Amino acid sequence: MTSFNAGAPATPDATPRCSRCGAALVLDAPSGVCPACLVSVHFGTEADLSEPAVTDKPTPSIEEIAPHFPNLEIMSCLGRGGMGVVYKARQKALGRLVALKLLAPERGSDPAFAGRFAREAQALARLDHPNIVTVYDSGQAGGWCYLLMEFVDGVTLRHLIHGGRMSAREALTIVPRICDALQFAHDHGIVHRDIKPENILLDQRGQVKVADFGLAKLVGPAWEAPPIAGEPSLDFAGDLTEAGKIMGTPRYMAPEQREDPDAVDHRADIYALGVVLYQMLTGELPDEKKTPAALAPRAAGCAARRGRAARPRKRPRFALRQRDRVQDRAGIRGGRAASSDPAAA
Amino acid sequence: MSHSPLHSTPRFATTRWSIIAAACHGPTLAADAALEALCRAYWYPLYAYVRRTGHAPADAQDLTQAFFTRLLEKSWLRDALPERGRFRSFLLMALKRFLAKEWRRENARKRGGALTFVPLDAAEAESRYAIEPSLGPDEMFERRWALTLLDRGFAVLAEEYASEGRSDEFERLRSHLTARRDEIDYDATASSLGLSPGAARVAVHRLRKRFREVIRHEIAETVADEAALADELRHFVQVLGQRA
Ligand SMILES: Nc1ncnc2c1ncn2[C@@H]1O[C@H](COP(=O)(O)OP(=O)(O)O)[C@@H](O)[C@H]1O
Ligand SMILES: [Mg+2]
Ligand SMILES: [Zn+2]
Repeated sequence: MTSFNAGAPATPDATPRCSRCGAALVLDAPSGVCPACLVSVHFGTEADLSEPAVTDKPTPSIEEIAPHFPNLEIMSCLGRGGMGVVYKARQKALGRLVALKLLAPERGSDPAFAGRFAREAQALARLDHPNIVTVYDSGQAGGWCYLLMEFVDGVTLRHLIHGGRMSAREALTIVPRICDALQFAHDHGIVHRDIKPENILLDQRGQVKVADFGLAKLVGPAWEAPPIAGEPSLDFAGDLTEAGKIMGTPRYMAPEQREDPDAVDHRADIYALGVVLYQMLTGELPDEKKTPAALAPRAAGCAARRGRAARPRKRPRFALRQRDRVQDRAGIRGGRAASSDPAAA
Repeated sequence: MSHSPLHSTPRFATTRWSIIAAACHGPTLAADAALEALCRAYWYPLYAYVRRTGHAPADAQDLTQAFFTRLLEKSWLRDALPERGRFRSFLLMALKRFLAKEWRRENARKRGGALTFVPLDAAEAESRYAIEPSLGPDEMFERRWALTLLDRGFAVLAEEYASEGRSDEFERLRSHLTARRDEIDYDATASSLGLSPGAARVAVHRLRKRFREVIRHEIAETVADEAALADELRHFVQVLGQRA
């Protein structure tokens, strides 16, 4: 049997204690810090444990940001995502409504993150498509990186799903527009990488606008080529790998994207869209343990399933294919022109 | 076939432990360096374990040293990798085996000519050990391991702030790490730092964010994949959440 050393001396009365929970502080732990409180504050919930993403999200107030954007009248806060806060604003000169997106304030000084943000702006600026949120401008102000974009006056797909107002027909007219947007981006060598209901906006006319190409990454040949020794692009790739650690939203993420965030191509978007379609049709996220919800119209459910194939090669090869598949199954004919008014169903 | 596709390498391929685990089919310099770095970082929990199993300070010191010497012989490492996923469990299991079977022979050899791999300072080790709470050997090891990890995390943070000339800010902010966001008095913090409340808020959150990242990173160094990271983190939380 093991013998226990009575190594610890009798605890003196002056034992320092945690002012928060009262526990005696471990003498040679990081001084003055209570390990129990530390872990409960930072890793106390299941979400803290499994989400490497940003969890502390201070939202700068309108008064706080207004002085840094003299050309804008900041009106309200629209929402907050993994990377930033979005405000509704008006361009004073033009009277035009815009959406102002600020880089997560707690990461403002992180150059890798700032670099990602700048790339998001450039990637988006290249995408001029009716189903993609238009970028007007980007830059830095008040220690934040910002993106100025088209204001979409409406709701996100998440709102629609939660509002329980999603008919199968409605779902099957929205998804083809998302496919169009993705196909267009894919044709430009851009993978969205974070397709999820929050990033799909619908304006009051029912127009679908895909937002937040914040996790987009160029997949052009320059990035696929083996790095040349001594070339600075190696560092650049390294910084993207770092960034990859917090990319994406697990529930919508393709298996290959979870495994290796850097190696994804456009098929990761097709997967995510499959999950979104499933969710639109059933109101639930897919769950491997359960049989596919009976609610889903069989044919459409099939398209959703194909899109979510674990192996990228089993998925519809192009967003366009998935669009046609969905439209066929839904009995909707015609291409892009046919359905610019989906919400009217 | 030494061609390794740089672009498709999963990120865990570069953690210290996965480099070591991958080297079991043929040791590499990188694996040696990685193992040594990990041993240097985590020697004290092992020492505390050996002490707590009843060995006197001088013996515990020899044993720990001899254990690391053996461990760093790669052939031995190659045989001893049933617990491929985690450095922590691997190390404890290897130590137990070593203590059970090989102690006498090793001890004899050790007293002949000592090779020291780990900067084991007898006086320092003992002064730390003297204030350890009365836990069993395994519990002691686990707790010490987690605290070592925490220590490393704080050291990294302190170094980062120092390198930016902001050590003072770190010293003032670190106590906020143990508070929930709604428990923090930003106005007081702002005036103590001479910042605007908005800037203080940003400073606090930056530190908190970085703390989590650093802890995750330190743990990631000791595991081979994402799933093991989640488990190790859970273990870390559970061990430190217990009252000593
Ligand atoms: N162009 C826009 N027009 C209107 N609301 C928007 C716009 N962009 C984003 N939002 C709102 O802000 C929220 C967060 O924006 P998002 O760009 O997705 O942030 P993140 O990149 O941080 O995930 C969205 O869920 C949406 O409600
Ligand atoms: Mg978003
Ligand atoms: Zn406490």
